[in-house]
This record gives sequence, C-alpha cells and structure tokens, in this order.
Amino acid sequence: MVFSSLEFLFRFLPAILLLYFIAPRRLKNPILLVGSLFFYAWGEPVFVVLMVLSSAINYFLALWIDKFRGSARSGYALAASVVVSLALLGFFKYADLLVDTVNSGFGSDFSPLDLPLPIGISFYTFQILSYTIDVYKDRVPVQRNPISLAMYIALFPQLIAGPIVRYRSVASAIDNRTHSLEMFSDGVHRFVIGLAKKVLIANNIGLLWDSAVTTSEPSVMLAWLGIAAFSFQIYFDFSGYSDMAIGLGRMLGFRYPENFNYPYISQSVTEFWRRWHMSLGQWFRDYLYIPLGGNRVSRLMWVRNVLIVWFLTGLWHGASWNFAIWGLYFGVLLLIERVFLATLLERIPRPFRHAYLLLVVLIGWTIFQLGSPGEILSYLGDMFGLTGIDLANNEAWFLLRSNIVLLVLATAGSIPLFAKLYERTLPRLTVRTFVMPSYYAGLLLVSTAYLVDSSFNPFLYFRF
Amino acid sequence: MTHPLKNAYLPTVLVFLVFVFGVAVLSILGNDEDSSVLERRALAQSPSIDFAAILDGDFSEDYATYLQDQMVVRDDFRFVKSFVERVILRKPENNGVYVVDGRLYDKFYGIEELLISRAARLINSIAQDSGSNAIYFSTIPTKAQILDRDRFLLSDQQIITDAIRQGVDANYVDLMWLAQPGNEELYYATDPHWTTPGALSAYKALASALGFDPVDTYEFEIETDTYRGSEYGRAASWSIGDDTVLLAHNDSIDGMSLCRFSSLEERKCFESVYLQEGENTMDAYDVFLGGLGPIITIDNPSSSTDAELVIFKDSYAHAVAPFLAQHYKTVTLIDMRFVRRQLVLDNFSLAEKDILFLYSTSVLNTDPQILN
Repeated sequence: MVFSSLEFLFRFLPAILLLYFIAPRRLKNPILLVGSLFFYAWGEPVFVVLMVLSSAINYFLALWIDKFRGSARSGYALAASVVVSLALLGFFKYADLLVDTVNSGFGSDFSPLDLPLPIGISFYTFQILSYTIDVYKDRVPVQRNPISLAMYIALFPQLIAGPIVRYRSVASAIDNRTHSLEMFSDGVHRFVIGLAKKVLIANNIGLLWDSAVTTSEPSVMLAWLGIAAFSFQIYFDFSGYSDMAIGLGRMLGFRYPENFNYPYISQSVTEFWRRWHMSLGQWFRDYLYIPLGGNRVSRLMWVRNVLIVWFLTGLWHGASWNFAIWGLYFGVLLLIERVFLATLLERIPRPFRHAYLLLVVLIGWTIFQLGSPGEILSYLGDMFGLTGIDLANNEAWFLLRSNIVLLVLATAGSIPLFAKLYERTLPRLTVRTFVMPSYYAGLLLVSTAYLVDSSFNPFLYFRF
Repeated sequence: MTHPLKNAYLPTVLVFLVFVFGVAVLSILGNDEDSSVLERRALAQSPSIDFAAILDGDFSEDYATYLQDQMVVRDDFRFVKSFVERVILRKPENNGVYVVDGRLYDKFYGIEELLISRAARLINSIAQDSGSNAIYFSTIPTKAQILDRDRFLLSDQQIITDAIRQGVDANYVDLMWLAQPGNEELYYATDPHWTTPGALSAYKALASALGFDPVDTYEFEIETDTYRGSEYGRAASWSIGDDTVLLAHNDSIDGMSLCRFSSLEERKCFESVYLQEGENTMDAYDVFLGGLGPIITIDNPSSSTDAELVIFKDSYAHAVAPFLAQHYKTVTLIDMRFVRRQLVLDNFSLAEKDILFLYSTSVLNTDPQILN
C-alpha cells in the first residue's frame, strides 16, 4: 500500500489511528505491528513472510550478540546477521543482474530467476543491520521484546520508501513515547505537505518528463525541459514520501530523521549529498565508509573507500549497472571536489556554483533514469544539440506554456521559501487556528481530487 | 495554566481527522453506482474476496480501482481537479481535452501511419471485391482541426485524409472544410460528433457528389437542450454550457423506419430513425439510429427509386444517414468493427448498390479494428 492512495487515506489510516489511540498503552505496539504487516501484505501478500522471517532471525542473532558480548561468538552472530540480511537482499534484488552480467560477459545461457523485488527490502534490510551492528557495538541495548523489534522493522510510515530510521534514533520511543496535540498537529502538517508534493507536483510534472522521452519530435529545448521535469518529479516524489513518513511517525509519537533539506539549492556535489536522501548517506557513512577507514587512511585507500561507498550507494537504488555508474559518477565528482574543485568553486560567484551543481545533477538524472547506455547518450546528445535536432519546436513551447505554473511552483517548492514563511507566521494565533487549517483542508481536498481522477500515480521506488 | 497557543493546534488536527474520517465513513455508507453517465462507462464493483486473488495481489489492485470508481462525490472531486488544472495551473487541457472559448476539443496528436495505410488497404479491398461501380469515400475531420496548431499541440488531420486518398481508388468527397475556424457550431461543444446542422452541411456535399439535389426543407425539433457529451465527462469543466440536440423532420424522414441487427437473423425494428430510448441510453447522441450497432437499415417508403446505399461507417454517419436516406429506398449502415468482412461480401449484394465509406479521422487514426 502506498500513502498516496485512496485505500490508505480513507481506509487504512483512519482504522489504524482509531485503533491506536483508543488502545491502552500496552497494546499500542502490537496494534502498530499488526497494522504494519497488513499495510505491507496489502501489496506484497507473500513477501510479508520474508520480512517476518528476517526480523525473527535478527531478533535471535541480536540476543546472541548481546549474550556472548566480548567473545568471538558475538562476532559470529553479527557476521551471521550481516550475511543473512545481505544474502536475502542480494538474492531477491541482484540475482538477475548477476545472471545477466555473467551471460553477457561469458556468453553463457543461465536462465534469469525473474524474481519480483519485495517492496522496501532495501530499506528494512538497512534498518535491521543498523540494529544488529549497533547492538554489537554496544551503542544500544538489545531489544528483548520481539514485538517491539518487529514493530521497529515493519513500522508502516517508513517501511517502503524510508527514511532509513536507525534503531538507536528511535530505540527509546519504541517502548516509551509520548503523544501530544502539538506533535500530532505537526505530523498533520508534514503529512499533508508531503501528500501534496507527491500528488500535485511530482505526478503532474512527471507527465512532462514522459512527454519528453516519448516524443516523436525531439528538440534541445524539450530535452532540457524533460530532464528538469524529472529532477522535480523525483525530488517532490521522494521528499514527499519522506514528509508523509515523518508526519505519520509524529502522529504516532516517533521522531524520524530528516531525509531531504532542499538539495537543489546546493552549490557543490558534496553539499548536494548532505541534503539529498540524508538517511541513506548517513547509513553508508556510519556502517560502511567509517568501518572501511573513512579518510583516516592513505590517499589511495581513501579513494578506494569513496569509490566503494558510491558504487554501492548507486547499486542500492536498483539492480542495474546504470545505477552503479550513477553512484560512481557522483563518487568521482566528490573526489574531484575534495582534491581541488571545492577550492576553485569557492572563488567563483554563487550563481555559477549553483549552475555547476544543477548541470551535474541533471546529467546524473539522465544516467539514473534512462537505463541503457544508448538511451543515456542519445538523450545527452539531444540536450547538448549533438544529434542534429531542432533547438526548439512547437511541442517544446507548448509543453513549456502548459507547465509554466507548475514549473514555477516546483521551483518555489525547491527552495526554503514556503518553509521560512511557515516558520515566521506560525507563532501568530490566526495563522495557526485559521490560515493553516484552511490550507491543509484545501490541499487534502485537491490531493484527493487528483487521486480520484488520475491514472498517473507511479511508485518510483519499486527498484530500490 | 494552559499555554495560550496550546489549544491552537486543535483546528489543524480537527480538520485532518474530520476530512479523513468523514470521507471514509461517507464512502463506506454510500451506495455503489453501476455506471457513470458523465464518463460513459461502467464503474468497478466491489471485488469478491478470493484467496488466490489476494495472494497474487489482484485483489488489492481491484479494490483500489473499486475505491477510485465508487468514491463519494466522485464527480465533484473530478470537477475540483479539473478546476485546479485549468484555473490554477493554467493548463489548456484536462484528461486530453482542450477547453477553448467555452468549447471542448479532444486532443488530436500523433499520426498513426501504419493504422491509416491498413485502413486504406482494407477500404480498397472491400471496394474492389464489392463489384459496385458507384463507390465513394470521405473522411470527417474532428473539431480539433479547427484549432490553431501553433497554439495547441495538434496534428494536421489533412495528412490522414491525403494518405487515405492516395491509397483508395474511389470517388473522394471532401468534407475537410467542415472543420475550419467559424464552423465551431457544426460540432457539439461537449461531444466529438457533429451537430444536426453539421451533419446537414455534410449531407449536402455528399448528396451532390452522389448525384442528387440536396433536400433543403426541414423542421427542427429540440430533442434536448441539456446535452452533455463524452468530452464533457472527461474534461469535467464547470465552465462549459450544455448542448442542444436537434432532430430534423420532414415527411420523407418522418416516414422512415429503422431496423437494428444484432445478427443476420435477429433484428429489432422501429417506426422512426430517431430512437428516444436508444439501446445505449447513456448518450443523447444515440437518439440518431439508436447508437452504435453492427448493422442498421433505414427503409424509406416514400422513395421514388429502388436505389440502395451501403455506408461503411463509424458513429458520425448516424446523424447524416437520415438525410441521405431521402434519396434511397434503403440505406444499410455497416460498422466493420463488429462485422466480419466476408459476411458482408456474401450477404449484401454490394454490386448493385451505391457504396459510401464514411469515417472520422480519429477512428482511422486510432482504431485498429475499424475494418477487421
């Protein structure tokens, strides 16, 4: 089930809120667990078993890690947790990539397994690992209540599209959390804004990207318009999901980490990745980059560490080599910035720094989204006028005119304009009691209207 | 003491809870509808609980469709979305329908060369196999051809007409002039079809080409002045007024009778070419000959000749057929989307009849089953 659906908004959500808030404290976690399993099973009835199994295995492994702390057996238990978790992820997500690669590299004829990818497996696997590794490192106490642990792993707000909530950041809230009108109201704010970002902006501007890639009359202008539209689509879609997750979490008494912080206002790739999918970056930093030695190693090893992390960051986004190339592309850019470009960037005017960042990010998105090298090169060729197409044509101008308000709204939403306005005006009583509730009502009404009358509501994370 | 702002959070929470619970409760209590007249389609019904369907995910997909179709005040939500698209986001279209000066226009974009050449080949093969030496064809432009192609994303429908003309060896009757600026009234504002005046204009051109003096004496009856066509349902725009459906009468037309065949043996006959209770009652345009059907015949007892006309057609022909029938003893309308080619050649003695292929550019460009 996804948040931006009628069945979530008007069936699941009211039911779970009702049950959760009328239940006594001791039943709140079991209710969230059962509700979350139902939420997952709604679209993935079979793979819910995999998630439960994975949770159960890691529950016991964490107990062993704790029980044999200080001895080698604790390490074996952690190794088992890492191997089992990554093996499941690897099998379901990457097996066919391996088969295809071997077949094309060695001319063999192994049949692909054609396994459907269990939704959210990349997210919950990383959450599980954050738990067992942190128990091993003695950063958090082991969770002895299987229901509490299973609820942490399966909790529906962050289950299928993040943020990747590390166990230690919610450990205390799992067993002891408070609820307040203020927190619920704050949750409503984040949820409604997230819903509108996904349904009103991302879905709508995604149609522009679709027009650009399916056009029979390409032009340079349309190629730029298209990739700009995709940049907005993936940002508003992904950050919208994160907002909804954070908002739902707050309604239920959890504080999840932020996942996006206006990435498109960045002035370097380094800054961009501090603002984009922050929970993934932090996970790789804490559980891979630093254990590999981080930058406290020789320069060669540091380069190796960066490239490993970014190769895997890319591959995490989907079982296809273009994602790995996309990751390495950013890894190399980060290295270049660290070695000399950052100093150079500091010396040039700010608009040029923004232009540099946006250019490399847009090129990155073509690699991310188009998949095959032929398609990527052809689209980049269109963007830079290397394929002999028109500079602009009727279709490009028409699509620009048709989407101009949306593009302006998306641009305004990509900078902290509305957030600052919100923060500044919220202390006013009229804003809080009248303006904002009316605004939320409007957004809910319009978002529902779009869900009722729309055939375009993609779930972009089916490959994650 | 309570902080003065503490209770100020309540309105936000209440708005959210009232909306989510309110829509949920109303949609659970509301009665399910069988169909949507506005959208001209059957609505999804509650899926039955089936273990296999639950396991393979079909149930959840069907339930999502059901909820979307049966959402409480669904039409109002659709109008809200259209309002936001058109008024706030300033988009020229909603659901593929342009809204221009209070009229609706199906977006016509993309030329399907393969489908068009296939249609031309099939028209030609029927024409050749028919044995008739009075074969005519025409293409009907959709009203989007009226719009400025520099302002809107539209294909030139003349390309389709030219391709059909090139591929078909028969007498061409030009109707492309129908869709030119100033002729907006020849089409309904809310439906793709031509109005009765539009069909009358087309009839005059067709009758002249077929060798007749067009009849020009009619009285017009208002069938309805609250017609909302299929484009209205898709555009869901508040700013569009209703259409008027006119029925043309004179002694000749009023004396005609109509038979609708569901097979060669089974037919239903009526004493008028206008069927107020058409078989497809969702659309007032179905008053003309009773709506789509595989084979429809019109008998004209006042005809002074024994001549017969066979029209291979889509729904546009329904409004023009009564006019043409004034010059024939019988007019047979065949919709090749529902009838096999060989059955027609074997049963309709085409050699002795006038034949007219009358298709809209939109059907030629999109329907792979136009002539199966």
